[in-house]
Amino acid sequence: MDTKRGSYQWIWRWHFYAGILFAPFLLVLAITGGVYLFKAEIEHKLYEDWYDVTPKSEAMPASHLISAVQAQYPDAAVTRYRSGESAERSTEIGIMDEGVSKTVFVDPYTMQVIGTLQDDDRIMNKLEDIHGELMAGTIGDRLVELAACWAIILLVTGVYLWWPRKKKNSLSGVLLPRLSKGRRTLVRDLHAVPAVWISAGMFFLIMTGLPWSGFWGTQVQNMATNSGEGYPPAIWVGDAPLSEVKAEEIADVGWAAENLPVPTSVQTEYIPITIDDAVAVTEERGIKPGFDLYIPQDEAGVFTVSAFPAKAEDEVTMYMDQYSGAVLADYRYDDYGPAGKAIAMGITLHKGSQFGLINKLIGLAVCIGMVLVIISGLLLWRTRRHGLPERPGTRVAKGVIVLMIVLGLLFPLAGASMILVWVLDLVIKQVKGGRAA
Amino acid sequence: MKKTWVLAGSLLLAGCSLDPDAAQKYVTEEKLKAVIEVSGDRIQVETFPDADVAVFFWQDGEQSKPLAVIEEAEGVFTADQLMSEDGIYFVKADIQTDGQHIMPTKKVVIGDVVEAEVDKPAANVESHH
Repeated sequence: MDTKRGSYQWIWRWHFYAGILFAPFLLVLAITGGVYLFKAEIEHKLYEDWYDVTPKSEAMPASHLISAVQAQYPDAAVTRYRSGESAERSTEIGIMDEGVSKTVFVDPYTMQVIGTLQDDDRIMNKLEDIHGELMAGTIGDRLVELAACWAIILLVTGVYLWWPRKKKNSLSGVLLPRLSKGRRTLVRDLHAVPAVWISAGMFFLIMTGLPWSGFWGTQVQNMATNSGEGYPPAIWVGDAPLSEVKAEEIADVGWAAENLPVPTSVQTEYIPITIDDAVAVTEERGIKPGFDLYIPQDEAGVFTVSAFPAKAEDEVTMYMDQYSGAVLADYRYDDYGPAGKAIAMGITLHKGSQFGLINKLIGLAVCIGMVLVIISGLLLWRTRRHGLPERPGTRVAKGVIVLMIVLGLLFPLAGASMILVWVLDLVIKQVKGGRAA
Repeated sequence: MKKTWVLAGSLLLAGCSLDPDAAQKYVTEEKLKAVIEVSGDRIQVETFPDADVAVFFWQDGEQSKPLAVIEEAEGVFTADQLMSEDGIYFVKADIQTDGQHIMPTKKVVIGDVVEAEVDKPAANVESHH
């Protein structure tokens, strides 16, 4: 009984400190994520004037539209071509203009440039940047990953703390909040009860978001790809294939027929295929408009076709040799290994696009629930008058230690931070102990 | 128990880097290559024997035209085209098999053509159809 009580104290202490420390991060993730679910709807509203075009008889080929853009931006490098997924959608041409990445919207029927947007100015890109790395690059990415890992620890410890210890017939305080048992009970129930309701959803969002993270995600992706069960290489991890560059020398006398006027020199070289041919090859392979076609920027580069639409089953990543148009790799959802399929499906479910509105609404409900749980958790702290829990006198139960080690090994970044906390705790104990003696 | 930990640990460490041959574990594309040789009035395309081969020819700034192609030997296709004037010409081989469709294009510069014209960046956006 004593160890049980001791375990409870220890786990409660972990839950308490981890919760306070990571509450701000998780709050940011929940709010930005909740808004980001509606990216498509928000962007369509924001960029309506640039997205919508009136369909006319026939759309112009990519080369003409790019020429129209180049006339306006003569010094910019053209990096991307994206035809509209429907007849009413404008064509996007991506350019690099003096080191700034921009999207030019063109009417594919009239070749008119409708508008230009700096990619960094896209509000949804900023939101994604906050959600993924707190706008702080690698450090931010690791912090988000750490917060996500600790959120799992918070979930596991939270469920343990919530688990009804006495056999009760009533669901009050378990699955229903007790509204008339005083302020403290109310706040506790407004924390624990909704948390349990959304725990499965939170766990799902964390686990589907983690494959994106820079440290854990990259490791897991590498492992899955290496085993043949994950994504094929170069979709998330690994480099794209290269175009085969053939060096051609100048042939001074390569001419067979002697009675022909012999030219002074003949020089031959393979030239890149046209963008129209690249689009034709892509469409021959059954890829529907709405894909991004990235244009090679150096002599060994490839044409890359990339489409990540709402449903995971429609994903495409394809590479084409820029000199011959040969398809070097063409990966579809069906070509992913089982782990790759699971991660891909997880991503579209996480983003709320896989099953449309209902998917987004469920995601939103979990996000709102998370905000509520975080705020009520912080309120609980306030009811303690911001006091901090003491170090329990009992030893930690073996089961708890094993659980922590397992979690620490599965999520090494969280594991490293746990060791740090443990050392800190020991030092504080020593210092305090020393003072007492 | 110990073995499990060792296995788990080595998995974690092994997961760090991507196997450069990992692509072999996934679907791969048929390799289709072609070599275009231009000499005298002869254009030769060497490629996969069963491929459908069409050859197009045009002088810079003009319309492309298809050439008559003969399969001279297994996978060796030839066409005749006179290029007597100094200038820039293009030869495009359109090659199709069941799994691939490639269209290598060769630029042929004959005689003394002004350098600037030759060095013009290979046109991604030119359309010769």
